[in-house]
Amino acid sequence: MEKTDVLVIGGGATGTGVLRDLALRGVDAILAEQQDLAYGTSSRFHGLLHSGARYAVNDPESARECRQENAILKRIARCCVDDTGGLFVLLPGDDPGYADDWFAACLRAGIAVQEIPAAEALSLEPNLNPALKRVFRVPDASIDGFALVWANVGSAAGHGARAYTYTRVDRIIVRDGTVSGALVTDLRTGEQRQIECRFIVNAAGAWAGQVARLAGCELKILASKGSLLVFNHRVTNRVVNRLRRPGDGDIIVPQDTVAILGTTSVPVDGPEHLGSSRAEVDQLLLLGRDLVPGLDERRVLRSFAGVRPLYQENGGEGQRPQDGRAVARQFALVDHERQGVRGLITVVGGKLTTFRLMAEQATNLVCVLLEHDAPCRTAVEVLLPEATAAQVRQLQRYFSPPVSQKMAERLGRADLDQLLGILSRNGWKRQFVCECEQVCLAELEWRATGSSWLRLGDLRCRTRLGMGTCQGTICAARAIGQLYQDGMLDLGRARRLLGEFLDERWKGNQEVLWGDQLRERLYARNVYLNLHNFQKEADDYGL
Amino acid sequence: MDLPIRSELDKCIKCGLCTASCPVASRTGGFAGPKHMGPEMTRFRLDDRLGLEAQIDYCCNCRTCEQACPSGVKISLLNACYRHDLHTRQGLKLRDGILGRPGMMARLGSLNAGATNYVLNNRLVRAALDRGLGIARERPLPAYSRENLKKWFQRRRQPDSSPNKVVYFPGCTAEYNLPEIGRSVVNILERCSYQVILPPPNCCGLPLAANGFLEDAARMAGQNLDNLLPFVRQGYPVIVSCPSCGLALKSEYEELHNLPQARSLAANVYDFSEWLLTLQQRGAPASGFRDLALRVAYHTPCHLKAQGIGQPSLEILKKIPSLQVIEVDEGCCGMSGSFGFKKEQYRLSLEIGARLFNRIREIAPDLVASDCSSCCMQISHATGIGAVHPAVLIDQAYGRVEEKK
Repeated sequence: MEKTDVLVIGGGATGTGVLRDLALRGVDAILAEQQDLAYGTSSRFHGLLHSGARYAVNDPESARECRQENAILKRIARCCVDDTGGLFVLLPGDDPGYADDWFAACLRAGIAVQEIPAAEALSLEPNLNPALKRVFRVPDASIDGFALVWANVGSAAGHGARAYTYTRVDRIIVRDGTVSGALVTDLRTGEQRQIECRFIVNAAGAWAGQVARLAGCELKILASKGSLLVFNHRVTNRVVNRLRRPGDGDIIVPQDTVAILGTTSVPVDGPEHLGSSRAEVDQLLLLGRDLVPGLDERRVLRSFAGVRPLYQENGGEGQRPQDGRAVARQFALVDHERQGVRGLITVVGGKLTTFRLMAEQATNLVCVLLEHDAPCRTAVEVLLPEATAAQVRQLQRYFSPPVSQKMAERLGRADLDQLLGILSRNGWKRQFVCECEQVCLAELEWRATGSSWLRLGDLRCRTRLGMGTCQGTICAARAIGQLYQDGMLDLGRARRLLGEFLDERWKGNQEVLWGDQLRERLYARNVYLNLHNFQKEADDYGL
Repeated sequence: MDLPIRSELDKCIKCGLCTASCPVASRTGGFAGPKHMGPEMTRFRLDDRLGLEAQIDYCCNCRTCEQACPSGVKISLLNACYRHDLHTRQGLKLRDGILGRPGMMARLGSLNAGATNYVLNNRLVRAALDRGLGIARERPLPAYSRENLKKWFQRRRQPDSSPNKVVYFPGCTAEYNLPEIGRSVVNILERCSYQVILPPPNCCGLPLAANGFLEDAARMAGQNLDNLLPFVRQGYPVIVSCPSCGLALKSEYEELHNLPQARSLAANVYDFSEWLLTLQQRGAPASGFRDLALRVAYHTPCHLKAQGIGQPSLEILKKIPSLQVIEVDEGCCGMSGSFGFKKEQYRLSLEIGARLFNRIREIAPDLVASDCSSCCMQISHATGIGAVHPAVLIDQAYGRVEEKK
């Protein structure tokens, strides 16, 4: 039986943040995630690292938290943060009085906000609505949720922590009112086993209510769905916010090669309602073109949705606010001792921007309970050491300077060493498996051998494979072929993974099928179904 | 970056037909091909932190990719912008500035053509140009003519005035290097009862754009619009004998430089053979071809293909009695204007055209005919077989004997 001090449930930003914090403080910890890391909300959002400006008027406390965490993450998590800067744009027809209130509120929250002339804004971002009235600069940035979560786990693992993916917690074992462990199932093998622990941190996000119930505790989580659109290219190079009371479709975030427009806010019953409707897509496009004229004619690669887990303090009076934005975005730390279970803590709510602070406070509480006296170091220790100049020079032996730069940023120092090792042994593995996002065979090999994965989609999240223009049409077959050739898959699994991957990519396309994206998807269908006769193969082999 | 380029980027469905058809990518691993350098890198470089790839210089601007593309992506437009941004960032090369300005160089070189040709053929000079500037010493430089087309046009006996007028835009080669092409074009047009108007000599600007000098190319395009539009407004068609000039006038002025009124010029520009074939189809004096007992291999230049007008020269040549015409159909010759002059690209340029040269050697013709003098230069250099513009052959078939100079 495995033993640890703390079991963290949930492999999103918060859970992995807690794992890292515990590990850095020298507390032995294990993380269990029922899917792959960052399966939930941590990867299903627009990727905005808030400066706090968005919350300045409605929620000054959140605004201040965001401001502080924004600065910390820009310092420690440069591997995942693209410091684009952000703009708040006042459009004609929006309340000019709100702009003044907002500006004052930003100053009160200590946010570095600066008004710039409209002409300057348009020269920085020529695609913005030329009729804009006022523009303010704020320190918003773009953050990669996948990379962040993986970096957290990498850092924690370096300090002895363990993280198990595809490991579902079936039951929390409580003896004499005190947590003593959990019964978990490895979903890959179906084996059930027990992990003994003194504390459990429930960081399951939208699933936190379900996890609390495993210990017989009641936790009221409101689920609010937000839908987002992924555009084929960076529509703007800075985060663009519409300057008005926070609402739908008023944020555009450049995210690596794409841009994300969000969001909507629709109350839902639980975390599993992850599709976005055609109505939401239409609504987003109509709103988005106010900020960037013609945005509705740009190519949309896919739509997706995430669930905001909103904690309701009064513990289930049962009302469902129509707008999830009315519920405070601050996070909550719940010690379930008052419900009769000692050793179970839930940390829930908040935003990705404040994940580190949430983790710090949860870990503080755990350390108090453990009587373990160690200061938090997550705000000062760099998350993932950056690539060195020498490594980038070495990369340039195989790739052009811009591609090398991109790889170096994506991989960081330790992974880059592995990649360079593979390349020095097999120079031909410089070939790209995914051309849209410039993922080479060596990177695929390293991710496939250096981490535990179940689906091709897991490798996608670690590399960006299949996230670009062709949505897997070209790279899916190449990747599967290579993994098969490298002996990592048998034929049956190769076929199954390929089909599953294509289906997953297809699912996110269904609400955005028009124009160029429709042509692309028809091309993909023809390549697989007609040219390669993939469906018939699958039927013939009973896959 | 402005919106038209963004929509070009969105059109790409990543099928890869462009790269499969790229004459450069199929010969060297040093060029990742049009899909990568066009839509892919353009998508990447919207993130302004990333640097640019110098391998864009290996795009030879042949436009084969655009003909292959089922999605109508203007890859050359993306590449021209990319190249321009790269060179603006890294500093433009003197060599590329020289190669991009054939007209200006020709005006200087023609001041004393004999002396210039002598100097440019000197091995020490070539070694210096190779080392100092990066112009391949093995590449023969086009000689300048003692009498350019304009001088010939003005000194000869003027034909009678005709109500049917055409404007002839000879481009730099037919003006300064091979004025016999221009003379043939003028003769043929006059034989078809047209009065030919020659505008002031000026480069079309395509070599500038192909070398990254977009602003200068746009300025050149503006001058040509000023020179040509007054004639267009009077209803005179504009004839070009160089496929690259034709491509510039027909599409680049509008698509790349986005110049107002470029469209009204484009609608009235015709390739010489395109125009002559139309005249012949309308029953104009097409007849009267004399026997021309030659075996000729015809090569279609990439920039003629890019105009989407078929192979009018080939059709006309086939009508000449006794002339045996064999179409080569082996793709790009590799010269691509200034591309083949560059030291680092000289060998590659010959490798690109290798299949074409082999086929021509197999055919073993008396002459090669091709509308593009840059293709002709490359083919002659590689095979040792003479290559001429079809207009010269057509002129001969019409019975004209080249006057002695």
